[in-house]
Amino acid sequence: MKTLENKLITKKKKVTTTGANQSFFVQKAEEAAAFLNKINLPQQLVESKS
Amino acid sequence: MNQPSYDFVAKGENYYEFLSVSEQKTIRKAIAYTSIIGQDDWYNLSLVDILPDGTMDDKIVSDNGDMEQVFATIINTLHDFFKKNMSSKVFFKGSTESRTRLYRVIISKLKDSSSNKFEIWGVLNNSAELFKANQPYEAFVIRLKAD
Repeated sequence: MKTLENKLITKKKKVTTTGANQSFFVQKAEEAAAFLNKINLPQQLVESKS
Repeated sequence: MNQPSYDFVAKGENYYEFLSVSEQKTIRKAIAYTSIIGQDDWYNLSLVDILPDGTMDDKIVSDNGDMEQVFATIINTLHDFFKKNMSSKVFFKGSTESRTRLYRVIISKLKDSSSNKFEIWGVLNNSAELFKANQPYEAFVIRLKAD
């Protein structure tokens, strides 16, 4: 049943989230930024891995 | 990973959808990785329900009895996300304290199967440390382990 249900969405459509939904996720990212700004991040996490 | 998960479809950049299915109901869910402004290479992970009117809700209690399966699906999207964003760090926290607690329990269970590839950090009292079980973390950071 689960497989059958999921097949309904396995056809890939090249769409993006709507403007309203993008705003939703941007707001969540801003909340994350505010949270991260309060954290003492260890150097290991600040540095990018190459 | 052996944990059962849902098939998902990538829709747009760093955005995935899948169906959470139980005998009682089917819920359309989305996982989004959104760039965090001001933090190079950092992304925020959001897990939301898509309501019938198309709006997103990250606080709704789905109560579909499949949180571990949903979380395993998140892990699978992480694999896909990191293929395109190898040096990125993914930040996430529950939309509520109880949800964060649930994530903590599930991460502890899944860590062994994911730990070969992912480095998981926990955030507690404004500092981050490598994830340890039974710590009351407030948020989490995941990135790929160095080769």
